[in-house]
Amino acid sequence: MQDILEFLQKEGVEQELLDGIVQFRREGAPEGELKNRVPVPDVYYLGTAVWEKAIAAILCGKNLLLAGPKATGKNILAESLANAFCRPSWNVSFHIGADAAYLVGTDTFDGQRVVFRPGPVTLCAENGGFGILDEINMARNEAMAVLHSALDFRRELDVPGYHLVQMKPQTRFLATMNYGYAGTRELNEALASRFVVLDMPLIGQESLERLIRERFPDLKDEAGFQFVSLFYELDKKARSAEVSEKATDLRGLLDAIDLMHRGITAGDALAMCISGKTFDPYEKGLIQDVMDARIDPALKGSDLFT
Amino acid sequence: MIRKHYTGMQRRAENMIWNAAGRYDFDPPFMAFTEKGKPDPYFNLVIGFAAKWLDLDRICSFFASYAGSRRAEEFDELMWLGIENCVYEKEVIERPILARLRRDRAQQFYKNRQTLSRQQMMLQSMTVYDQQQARWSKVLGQKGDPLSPAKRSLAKALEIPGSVTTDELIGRLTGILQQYFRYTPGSGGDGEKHTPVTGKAAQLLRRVLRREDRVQDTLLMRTGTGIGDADGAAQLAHSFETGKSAQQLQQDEAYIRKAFGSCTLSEQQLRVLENSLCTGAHAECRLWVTDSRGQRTGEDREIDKVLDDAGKQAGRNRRYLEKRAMLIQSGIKRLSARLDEVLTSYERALPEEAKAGRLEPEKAWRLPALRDPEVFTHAGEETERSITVDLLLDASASRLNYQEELASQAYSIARSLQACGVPVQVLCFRSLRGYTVLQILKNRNERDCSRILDYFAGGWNRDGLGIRLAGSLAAPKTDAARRILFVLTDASPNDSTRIPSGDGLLSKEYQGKAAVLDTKQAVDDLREQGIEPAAIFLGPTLYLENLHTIYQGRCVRIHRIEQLEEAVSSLLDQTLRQSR
Repeated sequence: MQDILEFLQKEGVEQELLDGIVQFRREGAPEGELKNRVPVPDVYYLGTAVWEKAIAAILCGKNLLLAGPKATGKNILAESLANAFCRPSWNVSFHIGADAAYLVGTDTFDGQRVVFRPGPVTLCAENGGFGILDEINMARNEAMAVLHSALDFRRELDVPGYHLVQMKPQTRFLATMNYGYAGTRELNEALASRFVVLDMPLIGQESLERLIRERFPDLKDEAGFQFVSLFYELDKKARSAEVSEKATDLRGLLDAIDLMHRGITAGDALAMCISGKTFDPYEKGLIQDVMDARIDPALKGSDLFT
Repeated sequence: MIRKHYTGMQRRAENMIWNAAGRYDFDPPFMAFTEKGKPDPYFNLVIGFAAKWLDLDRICSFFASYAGSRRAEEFDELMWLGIENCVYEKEVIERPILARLRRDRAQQFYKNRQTLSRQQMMLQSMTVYDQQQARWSKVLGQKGDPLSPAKRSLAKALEIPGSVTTDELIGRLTGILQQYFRYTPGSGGDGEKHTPVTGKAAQLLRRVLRREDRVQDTLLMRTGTGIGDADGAAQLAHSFETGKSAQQLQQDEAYIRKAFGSCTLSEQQLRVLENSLCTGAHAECRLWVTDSRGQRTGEDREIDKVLDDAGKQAGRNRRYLEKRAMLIQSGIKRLSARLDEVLTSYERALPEEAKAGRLEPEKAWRLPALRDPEVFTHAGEETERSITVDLLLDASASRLNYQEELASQAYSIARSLQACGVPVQVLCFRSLRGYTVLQILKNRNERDCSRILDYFAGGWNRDGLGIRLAGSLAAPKTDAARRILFVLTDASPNDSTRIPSGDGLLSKEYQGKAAVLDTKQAVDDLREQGIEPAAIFLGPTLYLENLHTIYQGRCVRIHRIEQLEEAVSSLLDQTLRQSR
């Protein structure tokens, strides 16, 4: 994998920002086990403008809220940022049971006494990590309230019965938020005001073509163009609320091409990775119609790859 | 093959066309179906490509120019063969699979030919048939049936190249009609006398024809006092209402009773409710709450007509639902899953004893004394769900154009919420003759949702009073932690009963700003009572400001009635996330 700073330089990211990253890194590199927590993404996020905004926000000490629909690369960007700034990261997924204790830590008995077992946010604060708060808008307000002091100018986390955790200067929180095409799930105001928001655009056609080309260098150009067109046609159908967002599945499309590379026919691969993920027969039919009008289901690896 | 009017698998065909066109913002003027009634994938793509590459409005005007001819259907088929070749050549460069799809379509033609009965063959136009077989045999590289030189020449003329513009295409198609059929579009060239319909008139005609077909037989309910507004929804014109005599009041009550069935509230309950709600702007209004239907008596023709219309509408609603049973069932499944996800993310997990988590002080002594480590609690798997939802539908005349869709959407929503264990009540309201009538289409404890299909539209909408009245039927506070009222509205309250002034001299019409502010007050009052009203807006942009004034952000806008389900889940999410 190419070094991320070289990659960013090639992407045309402002030198001043790159110098900022180098300076940031010099303030302290992770040691010991923390090194393993620095994420190494399979692919780096593509999109110079977004990169520049995100880097600038982090250098200014801001927390970032990456907002956008599916397939906009929110998590890829979050991981790429942690990698670029060389910081350990803690990933917090907001599921139903995510409460304040899950984030900050819980009490437990170590056989001798009741001790505090720190949660991901506390560990992130103590180690100057990047906390990736995935699907933050799914969090309940009361669960997030404990983070308010950590996210604003106070930069501290008060854990009752433990101590006041002062956040290391490198600590940042990168939240992701998925909003549907039909309506938005609002993030509560107190929380939203503690982030700078980066509206993530859907991956551009050129970037998608490049992503596919880099991932599958032997894929024929013509086939690559058809897959890219298929992705946008499915996206348009989802945006028009004719099918669910499941259809806009970039990971699914890449997986399908991977399967074709291994010898599965195009029809089977697309069914396994895209239309098969929809369990509603009517919706599946609509997705299938789009695929049938774009890709010949009988195509094999030899037809698609050089 | 290509039919202008169609119901059934329409949505799927529309999707094929939109996908090919690369846009979803138009109503396809044509759709293609196979003889078995299934969407024809290839020809639907062709229609979509026509929208993508050509000026569809102009093409439609061309089709409208011979719509009055008795050979119109035959011409349609031939003209589309011409367009097919043109858009195929335009599109195949960037969509290579089209060549294969075209071959498949050609093979399908020959396959169908083998299975056609003699009668079916006789019903077909031989001219169309000859041209189709000429086209498809060429696509397959076969020698087709022998044709006369004139037919061969027509087949050649129908091979319109992809290089032409819309104007050139129309020119060629017009030329074909003139040369081979001696028909000049717009001139009545086949011996019939008719006035050509073009331009805006043609567009209007197409819309009317199409709409009639899509929701056929609903016209009876749509006539009368309805006059179209900018968005095509019917609105009633205002008429002044003066003080009423006792006799007239009795007549009005008798009318309402006969038309909507008896009131579910006792005389006394109704008076108490009227005393509390029919004050201020509504001082001259009366209330009626019903869960039954009026009975035809044969005595009053006007009422019998209303009941007949309502009965017919209920029948249409049911047929609409039956026709789309599969689709609606899968929609319910999908919406239930989505609502369940929303509700699950909101509901709080009940605490469970554990070895780690939050230390429970009252149990802490057990740790040193009994060495019992289970003195902590953490979020368990059991959850608490305490919500009721009331769905209030505007049943005024402004909803006349989509009663079947609205009834079936309300039905799906009610079934989906029920599947998630949420008690749901469906109500509709309208005002007429000074009465605001609230119909209970489904009770909270009623399992059967089929009465929702009795929905029909007609009358005015006095939103302020309708919302207050619906609020009075909300679940008791003790029954649910969250009581949500979804209102489907066009944010344009409008009633024939005027707003009385304090001194009784200068009454105002119940419309515009006064009506909006009254409705806003109703919404605020309900919020104070702990009920959470939120709106789904379906109406012209003109009233968006009203919407925000009344509901202050707790609203979503939909552009088509089909988006109602989606809107409910997103609004439920939005509402549940707001702290009370």
